[in-house]
Amino acid sequence: MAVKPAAAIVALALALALGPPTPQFRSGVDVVTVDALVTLDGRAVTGLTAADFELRDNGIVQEIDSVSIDDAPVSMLLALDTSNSVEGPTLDHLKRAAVAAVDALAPDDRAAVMTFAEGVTLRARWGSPSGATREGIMRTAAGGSTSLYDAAYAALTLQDTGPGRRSYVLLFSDGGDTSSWLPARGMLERARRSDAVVFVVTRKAPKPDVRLEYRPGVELWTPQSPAAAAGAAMIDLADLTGGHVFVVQRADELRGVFSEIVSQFRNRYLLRYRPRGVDAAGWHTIALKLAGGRAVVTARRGYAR
Amino acid sequence: MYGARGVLLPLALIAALTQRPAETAAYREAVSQYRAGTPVTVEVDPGLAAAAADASSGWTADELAAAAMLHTDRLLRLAKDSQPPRAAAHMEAAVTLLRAAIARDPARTAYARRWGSTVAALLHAYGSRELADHLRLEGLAWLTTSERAAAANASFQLGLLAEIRAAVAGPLSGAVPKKAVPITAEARRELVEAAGHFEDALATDREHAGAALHLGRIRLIEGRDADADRALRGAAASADAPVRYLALLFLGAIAERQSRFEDAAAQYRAAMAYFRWGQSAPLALSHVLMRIGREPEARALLIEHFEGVRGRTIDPLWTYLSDPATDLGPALELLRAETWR
Repeated sequence: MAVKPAAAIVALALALALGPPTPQFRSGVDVVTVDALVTLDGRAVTGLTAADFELRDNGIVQEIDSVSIDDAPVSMLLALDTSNSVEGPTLDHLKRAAVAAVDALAPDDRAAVMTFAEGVTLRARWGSPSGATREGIMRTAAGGSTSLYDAAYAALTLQDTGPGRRSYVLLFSDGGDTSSWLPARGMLERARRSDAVVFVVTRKAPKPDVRLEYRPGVELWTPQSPAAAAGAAMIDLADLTGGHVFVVQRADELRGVFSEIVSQFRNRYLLRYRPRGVDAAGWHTIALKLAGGRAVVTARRGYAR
Repeated sequence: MYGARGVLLPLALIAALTQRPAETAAYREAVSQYRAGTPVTVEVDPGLAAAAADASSGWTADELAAAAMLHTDRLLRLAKDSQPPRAAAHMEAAVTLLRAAIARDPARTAYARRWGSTVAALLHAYGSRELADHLRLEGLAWLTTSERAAAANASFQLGLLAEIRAAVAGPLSGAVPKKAVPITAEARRELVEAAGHFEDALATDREHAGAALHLGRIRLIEGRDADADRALRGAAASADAPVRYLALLFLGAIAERQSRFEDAAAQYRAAMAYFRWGQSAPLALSHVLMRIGREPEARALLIEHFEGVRGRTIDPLWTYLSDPATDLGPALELLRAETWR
């Protein structure tokens, strides 16, 4: 077929103006999972089906392929702050709480244990909840400053990659970051690309990182820093991943809170969908709600591809 | 009191060389364990240090430095327990071994200087002032410093104190601000002052790698990337492991900021290769790999790192802004780590 030069020029100009075609998700290839908790007056709501949810990906309503509850095995990574501030009775309570969390897992669940002061240490690799997991917890000692952002980044990066599992990070910290290389922004970037849900347990309500300037890394006074420091990073982390921040007043409350978190794993829904009608690359905002009723849905705020 | 031990060294050497080959072998095995991170529970005899230090012993500079740290641990424990005479013997042994390490490998000189200042400060903190003074005035007197280097070092110390003041941006003991204040005018002034001192140090001694490193970081956080790059490349040529590691890390940060991700990854990899016990370099590398979509690599390298270090992690970054008079724990741990294998 002959093409008129003028038409070809118009087509070329259009192509240049529009740029390369934006890649879109190929149907059936990329599955997105959303781990969600539904509560009404603070109590978990169970028995819901796909028809009860409305899910939007970058504003486009999506068809939910499956919704399951309590049938997918859990992978839980415990990330425990063992810096100076937990030395003494707090460390004993923390160990007991962590062992209780491991004991509450089912035999087909998996667990890993990481501790952090300045240094991040993998105490127990991914495996069935076992004596080795408990031993990894119990041989921990306290001391040093706190590389909280480095540890959170590592915990999210090392999440269990086994198929069909729910990934959770249970992160305990007793204070703010004092010695990380990575800034809070680096940790949050990781969270945006992760399927794991992060539960933060702390003894003090997270505050903006007022000591950012003391950290010796290189991202201190760049123009981005004030914005990075403006929010309480650990609240953002939990919120971004669909988790929650628990603040305890006393160390002896840790065991109860850890157990409550693990029991919450069993009441969470796992939704799967294949994005349609949205670009493949970049940040995707997820809006998940119930089609009716006043129950509250807590889920990841989005994902990056 | 302790100076008299110097004349006893030849006798100890003769004894060790001629009479105790089994003990010498056990001593070397203890040092090997120490380098592998295995706790050394046997007592180490400071009298064996001279034989190890002897030029014909076959010991490498790394082994000698590790042996010096083994004796240093004993020295500090005994100093804490108020046993100065026994502590002094281990101190003499450590000095002898470090001197021999430098004879084998002059690049260990910066290490020995850091050892001297850290150990003297620790001894002072433990109440062993006599030992501390002896170490400063006599024990390391052979580690001579030229007038030029001393003047450069004085400028460097002033710069470091100003940089610490700038970083803290106010007393840490003060009330916690209600809002995040990443920079204050006061801090900015301190930073400018610090940079001036580091420039003075480099003008006096252009080989002062520490000054180049700290000047480079200040230029980096000021956004003067070209100046930072120049200073940091100088520091990256240093034989002093922590300085070199941090310079490579900061060069990676410049590249990352400029979206030269492959260059950044290369710098972080170089830092990891040079000092494997650090934490910042593997995390920085993993993070940059994640940013460019190489997620499996980002994960695999962290797994490899954690399995490789087996909990033995010490990052030079944690000593970067240490006050040399007070923040001694990480400095000592870093000295130990530089002898691990």
